[in-house]
Amino acid sequence: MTALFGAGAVGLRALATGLPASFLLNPKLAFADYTPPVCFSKDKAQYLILNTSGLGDPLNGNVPGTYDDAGIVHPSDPTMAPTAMTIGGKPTKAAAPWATLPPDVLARTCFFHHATLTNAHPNQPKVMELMGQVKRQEMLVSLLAKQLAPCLGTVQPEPVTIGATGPSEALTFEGRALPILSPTGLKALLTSPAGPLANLQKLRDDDLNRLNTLFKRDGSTAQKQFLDRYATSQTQVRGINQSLLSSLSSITKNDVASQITAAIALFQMNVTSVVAMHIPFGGDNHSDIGLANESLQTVAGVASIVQLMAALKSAGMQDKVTFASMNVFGRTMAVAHKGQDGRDHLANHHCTLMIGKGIKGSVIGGVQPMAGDYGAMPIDSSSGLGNAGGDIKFEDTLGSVGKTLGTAVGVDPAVLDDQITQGKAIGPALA
Amino acid sequence: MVFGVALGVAASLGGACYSGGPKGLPATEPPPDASVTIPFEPQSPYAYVPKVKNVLVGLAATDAEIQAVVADPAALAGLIETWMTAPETRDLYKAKMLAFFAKAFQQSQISTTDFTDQIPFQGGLGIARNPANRLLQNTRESFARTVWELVSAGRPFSETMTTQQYMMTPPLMALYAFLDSYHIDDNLKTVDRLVQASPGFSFTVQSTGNIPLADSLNTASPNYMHWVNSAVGNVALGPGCDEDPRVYTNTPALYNLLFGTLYPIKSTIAGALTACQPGQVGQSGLPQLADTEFDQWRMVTVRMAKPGEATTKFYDLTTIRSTNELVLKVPRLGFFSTPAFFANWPTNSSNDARVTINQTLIVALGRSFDDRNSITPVSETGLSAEHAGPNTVCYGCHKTLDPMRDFFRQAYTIAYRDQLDTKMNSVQGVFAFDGVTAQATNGIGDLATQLAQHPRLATAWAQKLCYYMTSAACSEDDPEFLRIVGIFKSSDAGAFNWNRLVKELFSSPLVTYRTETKTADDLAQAQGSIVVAISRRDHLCAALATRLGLTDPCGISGALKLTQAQTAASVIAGDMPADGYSRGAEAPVLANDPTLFYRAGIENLCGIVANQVVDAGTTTKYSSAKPDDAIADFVHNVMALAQSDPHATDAQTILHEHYTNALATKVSASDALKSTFVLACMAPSTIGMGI
Repeated sequence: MTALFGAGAVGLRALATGLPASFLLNPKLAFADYTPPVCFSKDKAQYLILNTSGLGDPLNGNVPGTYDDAGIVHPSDPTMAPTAMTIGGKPTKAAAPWATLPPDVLARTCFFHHATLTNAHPNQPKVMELMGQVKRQEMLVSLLAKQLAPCLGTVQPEPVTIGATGPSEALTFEGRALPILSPTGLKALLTSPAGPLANLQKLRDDDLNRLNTLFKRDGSTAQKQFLDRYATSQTQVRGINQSLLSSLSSITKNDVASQITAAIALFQMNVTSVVAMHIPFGGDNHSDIGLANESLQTVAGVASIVQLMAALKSAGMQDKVTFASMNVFGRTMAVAHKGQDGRDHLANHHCTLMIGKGIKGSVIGGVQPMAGDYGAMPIDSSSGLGNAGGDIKFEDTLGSVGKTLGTAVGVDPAVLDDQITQGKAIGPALA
Repeated sequence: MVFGVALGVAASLGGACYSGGPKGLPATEPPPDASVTIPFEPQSPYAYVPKVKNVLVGLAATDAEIQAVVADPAALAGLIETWMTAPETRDLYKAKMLAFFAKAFQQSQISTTDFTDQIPFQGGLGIARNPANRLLQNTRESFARTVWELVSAGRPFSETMTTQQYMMTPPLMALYAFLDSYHIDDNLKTVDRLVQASPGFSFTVQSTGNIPLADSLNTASPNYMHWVNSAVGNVALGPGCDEDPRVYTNTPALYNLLFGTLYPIKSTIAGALTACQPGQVGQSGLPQLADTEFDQWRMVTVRMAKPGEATTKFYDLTTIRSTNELVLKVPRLGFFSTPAFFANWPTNSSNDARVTINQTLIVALGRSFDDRNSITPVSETGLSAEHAGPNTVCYGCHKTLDPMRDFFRQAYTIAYRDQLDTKMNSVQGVFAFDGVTAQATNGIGDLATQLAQHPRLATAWAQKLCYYMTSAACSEDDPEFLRIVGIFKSSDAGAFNWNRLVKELFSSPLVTYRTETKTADDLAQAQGSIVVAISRRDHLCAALATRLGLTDPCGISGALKLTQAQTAASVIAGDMPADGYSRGAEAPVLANDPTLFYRAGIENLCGIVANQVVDAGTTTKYSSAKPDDAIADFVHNVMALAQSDPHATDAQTILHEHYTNALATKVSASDALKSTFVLACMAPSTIGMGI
């Protein structure tokens, strides 16, 4: 049956609606010579957890690469003391919490200095689209999720958001807004209560399909598309292994630990290839006397990453899941700017963190004085070092992050080069 | 050209550049939707009449109503008017509009912690959890109720920009008055005005006795400023906090006492916010403000205090309960100065109220600052130096943004209190937006006036209603849209008559898609076709409530106590897609797709509801003893398929067969009917808007 009608009974739906199967698979692209993604490499394909903040947390201010210039301000709190560490065999220095990453994690951790090219909170969605550098205004994570889905066989191609602090951190997929979910809600949504109603689920599914067919009989094209998506969603729900939902049972809150639990569960259930979450690293800290909150949350934030890595290892997924952290912008770093009384928005510098099997321990790019504060340096793609004459220009560093991350999670580099208009993948960041 | 050097954004903007994107980057291809155009397909009255009635009041359209529109499409306008005004549906329309206004005026996406900047103690509204949640709900609802009162009284909708009357409850009035008496300046320095005016101020709380409120407020009484709260003396509060009676010397403690909470500072340390034992904070004795008072709404005029005039005291509940006027020092007018709006959009010394003015313009005029705004302001004196360079990427926005944010900075501190800094007081804002520019002479009041008189006001609010009904924008150059905007601006029903706008728009082909419009063509061009969206949380839950006669079946009303079923439903409903607004975004955030999460959630939600309507006691709505009656209602009421709907008979057959086949699996008749209800509850016509 599946062979005859295809996954999601696309063929059956094509018969019912009179529309070509390619249209039903993606009606809005069918007439544009759209080619569905094919798996590039099952071996290299990774699940991805994206930590993102529309608040623009000051993660960029205390990472390796920001301790070489005395003009860069760091918290004076002892918990954030400058600490020597080695990444990729090279000595460097960072705030103490980063040195707590286990050596096996550090060996696959990249700190990528670049710019997000905006200093405005509302541009969070645009940064997710690499500020226009991904074709068709697609978000990077949606591009990656779509490409990874055929490799990983996920239930849905769309990414999932489980930690967004508001609509600005919502994701879109092919221009469609995706729902914002919470760990506690996820459990309530996906778990089918036991009892007679659950026992009648198959019967109900079949009869709901009959109702869908009934309404499609004389529906408009827009109605038929909606009904097809609704039918597909039912197929997807039933594709979720209910026995794996028990891993959600420990969730009682929507904190970072619960987001980690939920993300891993979503991967174990193979619901999606990309989950977005929110780990605070200091928030929108314009007024943060002594950078106290930044210190507190950086300590907690790095601890959460350590916890995440341990949880992945415990689940046997440490080689299957990549973690990345990218915010709407970085924050000001100049001592002269505010001293230790807080940090403002900074369009010209941000640091994306990447950890995963496909990542090599590295510090990519660098910082230099710029426009009264600091900015990302151009990058020499062969060495990965910040270099004023680097072939990756300042404005292309954001695209380079996208291509590097995409390559690390196993997306076809040719697709990345086609879909992301700027930058290059940085070889020294890749394992 | 190296972007970062020549075009790189100045470092200290505080997030004020609302540029549509970076300059110098290549133009990208349009979104994927743009590549397909489906020819216009007119919608049937069987699709659009139920949609309009659902959005308007939550009920299913009757067969007679649909037949009337089949016979004469113009009949829809009359039906809409009936639904808006008939006694049996007027309150349903009101409930829908309250939900719409709360979001459209950006008053609702807040939690207690979002008030931290306005009340910098106890992490939110400054009081314990339960009353805080009730007070939070009051703040969310207040302006929406205000708009409803204005509209119902026949006042022009444009008064929502300028009104100094607000629907309030006594607890909310106390909050406004407290915010007024607890001043916070631009350096976040606090001044307790009551203490300042009455050096040596103190009040005493004892655990037992009976002190009438009148005595507590009577300066001649020996019990003046003496109050009773049974939790005083609780040893669990720890040393320094467990005296009985207890003497307090600051007004936050008195504010807390009104809500039944003992403020957790040691009474022996005057003015210092030193905590008692952690974990011992919370509602304790009976509050001065009863729970029922959170539901006692009335229109209250907020008036600025004249020089030397006393302001309304937040603890003077005798006055607060009886007066229709609050005398305050903090300017309150329009939608943009409510505690809820300020909680939504806190500012800081870097942002400098830019977010406040930007969100104000998004709400009022449907436009955000960006470099499309080519108007030259009459004055650029308010333009911050770091953004003043005409060659910077920021200048396009900041040349108008900065002078306009001065409306707020002249009137308010960054904690949204009255601005006492004479330097700031002297800087008048300059309105310069979308074709209108004017130098203010009357502070924040001039901003309100400019918004109320702005040519985009009518367009913006017609557009918000388009989104509300269709989950998509109307084309603002569509002749039909322009016709409706013209009617809203001026009609025989008066200028800015809200209900006239609703009636005209909701009966228009702009939203019914009965006939082709430029809007439908533009939608097809932009994204392939018109939008058929899921019934998002507010509409879905309202429909379940009204059609089934349930009170808050999703547990989202903010009520203090929820039933077990409401609690379970609230967890699911909390993750159902809802209409939302986002910082800097002109369009609402609308998730339209029936994702797997929506599909899973709707089934579980319908299962919870099934237990409340099928064989649910003596007053049950549906009985398994009468399955035919129940299934008929499932089809016509829950699924909203009128008797003459071409799908109704077949749908009823499918539901009947489901019931019969379920019985065949040996489940009880009750469970079989519940399963049939769930099927109807998640049927396409129930969960799809425009199926």
